[in-house]
Amino acid sequence: MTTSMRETLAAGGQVGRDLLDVDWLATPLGEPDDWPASLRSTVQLVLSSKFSMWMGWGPELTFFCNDAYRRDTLASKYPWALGRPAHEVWSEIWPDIGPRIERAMSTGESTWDEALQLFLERSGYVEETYHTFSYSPLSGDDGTVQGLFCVVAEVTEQVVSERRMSTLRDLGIRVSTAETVADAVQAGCDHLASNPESLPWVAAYLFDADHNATLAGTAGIEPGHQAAPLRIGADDPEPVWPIGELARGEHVTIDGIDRRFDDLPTGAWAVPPEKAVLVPLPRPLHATPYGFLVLGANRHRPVDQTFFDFAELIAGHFAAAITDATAMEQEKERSEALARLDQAKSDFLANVSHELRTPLTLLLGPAEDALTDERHPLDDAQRKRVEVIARNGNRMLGLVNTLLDFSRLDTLHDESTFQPTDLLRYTSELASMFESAVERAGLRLTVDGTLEGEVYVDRSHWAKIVLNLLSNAFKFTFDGGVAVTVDGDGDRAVLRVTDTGGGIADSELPRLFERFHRVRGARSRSIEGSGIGLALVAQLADLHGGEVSVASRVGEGSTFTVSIPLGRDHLPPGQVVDEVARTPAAETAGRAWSILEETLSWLDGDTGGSRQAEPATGGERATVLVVDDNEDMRTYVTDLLSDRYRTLAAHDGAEALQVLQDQPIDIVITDVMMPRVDGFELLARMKQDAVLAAVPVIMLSARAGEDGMAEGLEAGADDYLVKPFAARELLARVRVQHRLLQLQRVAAEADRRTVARELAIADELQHSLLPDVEERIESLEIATFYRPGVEGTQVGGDWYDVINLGGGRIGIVIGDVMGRGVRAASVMGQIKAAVRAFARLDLTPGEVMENLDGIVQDVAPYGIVTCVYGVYDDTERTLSYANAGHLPPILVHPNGTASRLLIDGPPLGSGYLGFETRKVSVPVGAMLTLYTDGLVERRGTDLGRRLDELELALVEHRDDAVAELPDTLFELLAGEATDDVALAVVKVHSSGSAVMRLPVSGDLGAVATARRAVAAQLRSWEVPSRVVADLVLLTSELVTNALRHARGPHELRLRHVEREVVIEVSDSSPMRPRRRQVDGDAESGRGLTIVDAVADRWGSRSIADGKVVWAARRI
Amino acid sequence: MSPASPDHPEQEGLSFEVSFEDNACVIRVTGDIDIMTAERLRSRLLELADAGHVNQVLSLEGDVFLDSAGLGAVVSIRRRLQVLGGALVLACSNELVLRLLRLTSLDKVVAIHPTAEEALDREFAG
Repeated sequence: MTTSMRETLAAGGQVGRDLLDVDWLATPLGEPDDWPASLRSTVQLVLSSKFSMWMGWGPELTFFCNDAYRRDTLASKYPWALGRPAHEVWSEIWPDIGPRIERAMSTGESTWDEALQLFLERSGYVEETYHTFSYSPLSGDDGTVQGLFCVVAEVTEQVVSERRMSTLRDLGIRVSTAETVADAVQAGCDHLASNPESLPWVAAYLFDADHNATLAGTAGIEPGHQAAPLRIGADDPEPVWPIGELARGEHVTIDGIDRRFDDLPTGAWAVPPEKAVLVPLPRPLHATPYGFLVLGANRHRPVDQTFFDFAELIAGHFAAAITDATAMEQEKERSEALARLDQAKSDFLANVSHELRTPLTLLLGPAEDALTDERHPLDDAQRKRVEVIARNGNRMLGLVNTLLDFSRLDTLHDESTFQPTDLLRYTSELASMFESAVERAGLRLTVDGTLEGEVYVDRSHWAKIVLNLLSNAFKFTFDGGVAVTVDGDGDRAVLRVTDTGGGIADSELPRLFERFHRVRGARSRSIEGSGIGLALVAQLADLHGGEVSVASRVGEGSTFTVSIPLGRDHLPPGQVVDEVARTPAAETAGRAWSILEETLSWLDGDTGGSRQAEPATGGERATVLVVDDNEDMRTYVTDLLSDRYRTLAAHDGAEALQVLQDQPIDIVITDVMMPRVDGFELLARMKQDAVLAAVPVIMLSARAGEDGMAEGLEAGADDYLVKPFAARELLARVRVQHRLLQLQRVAAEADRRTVARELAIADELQHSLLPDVEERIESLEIATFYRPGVEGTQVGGDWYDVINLGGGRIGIVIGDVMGRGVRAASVMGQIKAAVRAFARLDLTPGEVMENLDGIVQDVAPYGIVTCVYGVYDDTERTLSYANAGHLPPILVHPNGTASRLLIDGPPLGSGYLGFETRKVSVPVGAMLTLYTDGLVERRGTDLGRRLDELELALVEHRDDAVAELPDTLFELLAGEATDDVALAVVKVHSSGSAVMRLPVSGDLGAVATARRAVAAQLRSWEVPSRVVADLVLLTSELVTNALRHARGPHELRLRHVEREVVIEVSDSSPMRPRRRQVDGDAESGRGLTIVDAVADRWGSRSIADGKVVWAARRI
Repeated sequence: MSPASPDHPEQEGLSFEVSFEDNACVIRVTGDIDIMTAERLRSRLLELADAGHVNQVLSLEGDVFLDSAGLGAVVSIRRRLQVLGGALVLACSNELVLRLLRLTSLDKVVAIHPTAEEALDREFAG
């Protein structure tokens, strides 16, 4: 050996030279030149290696290292570490590495550690580092283990950056799916919480328009903590975080936060961050950022450029997610706005149509009067003009009715009922309604098909589809005919309506099914048409899960095809019924009649009234004999009646008498002017016959006015109808006669011809139209009274009704149709049914009145109807009501004061649309009395005084038994009344109901909170557990539904009456919930299906600033 | 069989334990599955699916409340698993939950067995 160790060291670069400076004599190794060969060669190897290495030798493992180790690992410990004992150099990590060194030296085997976390104090702070290293034993000259050799690679950068990359990658995925800004920010924070190593805590702030910052999410720190205040005001003189700079988009790093804030969270470490890095959340195209993040930085890693880059990328993800969520929120708002606009349009359409009908009706009445007035007949020239007015007015009325139908399309979803139907047969029944029209026009109509088995359809919708397509085909066809086929095609039923009309130009085809689109330039029978029919067909087909298409060639004709799926899986389960429909086509066709009517009018040039099909009153089919010498009239009337009644026809009175002798006839409808035996003579001969005298006769006459009617009625006719009459009116008259006949057979066995019989009939008819106390209502005691007028020979038009609306709400109605006789009674019956229908829709009393007004215009165009409708709410103990020209019901309070429910509009039928809903409080013990004019009106007595007397009587007798009150009142006030009297006394009792109210906060956790509160309350009410489970589920669905689809504030009310619990959730959105059609795989839309199945009853109603959705479950 | 490992036992009233069987993993759920927790259940199961566990038995045998929002999560998991070539099977004998599945016709698209063991046996054996 020629080179000394010192020379070797001197040539060993900077580290070698520094090693020379070590005072080796003070170490166990002594003078370098005296070191054993093995040590010398190892040191030389270490010094010359480019890999990072250190070694220890001798009893204290005296420390050597090379330049790479110095640079990568030792940092500020160099050169102090050289020549020191290894346990001193690495004292801070000796507990980690000591045992490994021990093992390597004692066993002689190398160790291997990958990415071991070590906290080094080499940079002036406790630094989190990761090292992959191996310890190998070193042998001395004698072959024994004398030292230790370590190859080490520091992997801190890789480990830390991988950790950050993973955070960033997942952040991109998670954050981007949020639907709202708040969700996006919180989701991002939630994710950052999974990396407490890099980010012990995070607070996210959003700026408002005035640059105030609001805390929007946190990770690892409590919202409201000193370092994460809920709000930082823009004008805060000493803001916790420098929001001014952040609002300008600047980045800020703040030191010493561990000293500034107490109890700062520490994340994955034992000590809190020392620095906070604040990064703005950049907002595209805006100078002011969305907000900013406060990142508590891991104090064991330097806050350097890589950390800033990391922070920047996090902020980028947050900003992108906020941008996405904002777009989604805006999209949602846009679609909600569109839905509102759509709703507004429908409402507008409905209102306009409704408003148009009133003046049209008022215009048509006088026009038709003028045409039929025989006393002041029009000359030919005027007649033609008025005919034009009447004809076109009627067409316009038809169009307005169609518009009204169309505006109601949106509600069809809820009203549809799908039932299995033999579609081929039903379609051919519908088509047969067109037969006479088609024949009269000299065309052919064929119906044919291969469809077997049943198809689920809503029968009235299907009728509209078929009749609209037929009407359309007919309108454009002048030669040839219309062919209807109904075929099966795989899993679909296919209806085709083919015509030989002029065809449709290709350019028109794409828009054919759009609303209000009309084909231009086509030759047609009628210029009428609103462009709605085909759009209606398309929408109705869509309701069935089907579609409509058209193929057409100009000059050859068109084929319209409607194809709907077989089976029921595509339909909302709650709207499918399984009974096979047996009712005939005409009964379900409903308004579809007007389509037919319009089509017929193209031939006649006159529309007459609308022919509305109405269901028969039940019972066995009556036999009606139609007597008319005019064949068209005879056919028309028998056709009209044939769906409900067995019909026979006779050419004149003589033939009629023959038929009457041969077989039992229930009702006779006869014309007046006929050859041989005319109508009056027929009537006279019948009245002379003991048996035939009882058969009701309806006379049809062209003679208008009171005179004709008086003459007919004097002769003994039971009813009298002036031609031209509306089909609907004829049907109503026949129905009333039929009903009277049925009653008569039951009730008046003994006495057929006397006044007493008629009194019994009147009484019974009236009572049959008045409610039995049908539904038990917990909190109201109701006593009712009806007495027909003393004259007794004719039925009156008074009625009252009590309607249980569910959810502790009860509708109460009293009304009066002025006039007498079956006509008033029949009008009353229809109006009463209409009130029930509107009440069940949960319309407000004001809305009920406005809708009734339209009905009255239809059924009693010249009549006067007064009515009060009120809704008692047992929870609020209030009565909401509207009064259309009716005598004021009297409310007596428990303390003996009285008030009157005043009139706020004219009688119904006048087209008044300003009915308001008023609300009064009705405490327990209050008593409401509703009555008709028979009770108080007396000839020669001031009505005001009579009302005062009634009020006094009510106050005086307010503590009497409710059941006895009506009799008492009648005796006191109306002993000598001649008119009929209807009276209802309603007293409010405590229902013993218990109520829980719970405000529902806007966050999703509110659903669980509500469930728990409901469960606890129900248990305290000792509700059986099975019912509790159902109600908890209902609560979950209703609250979830409210939070998802309606604006807050929300409130939950739980009400327990004797055998029922009602849950109500109120919100501030006016739209009503709608059950959606859900396929097996849709993620949402099941809520209301569940409610429908679990609740015994459920519904919704409008309130002042929103709606209430409620569900009731019996106990 | 690897030992069951509880996930987030105390969080938001819903906890699940995942265990890995030969051909499927079993997720045993206890607590409320509603609009609040559905997302967490969904992400956990989808995470498992993304990690290759596409055959899953969701066990509702314990004390479980389920509503339509929970059903929504079940449906979306089912769809994802199906796309990935696996299947979701429910283990449930709770009459209230079963009724809900019937009401919404989910029993027609998801196989249901009374217990997880039976579900594994019938659907994922071999």
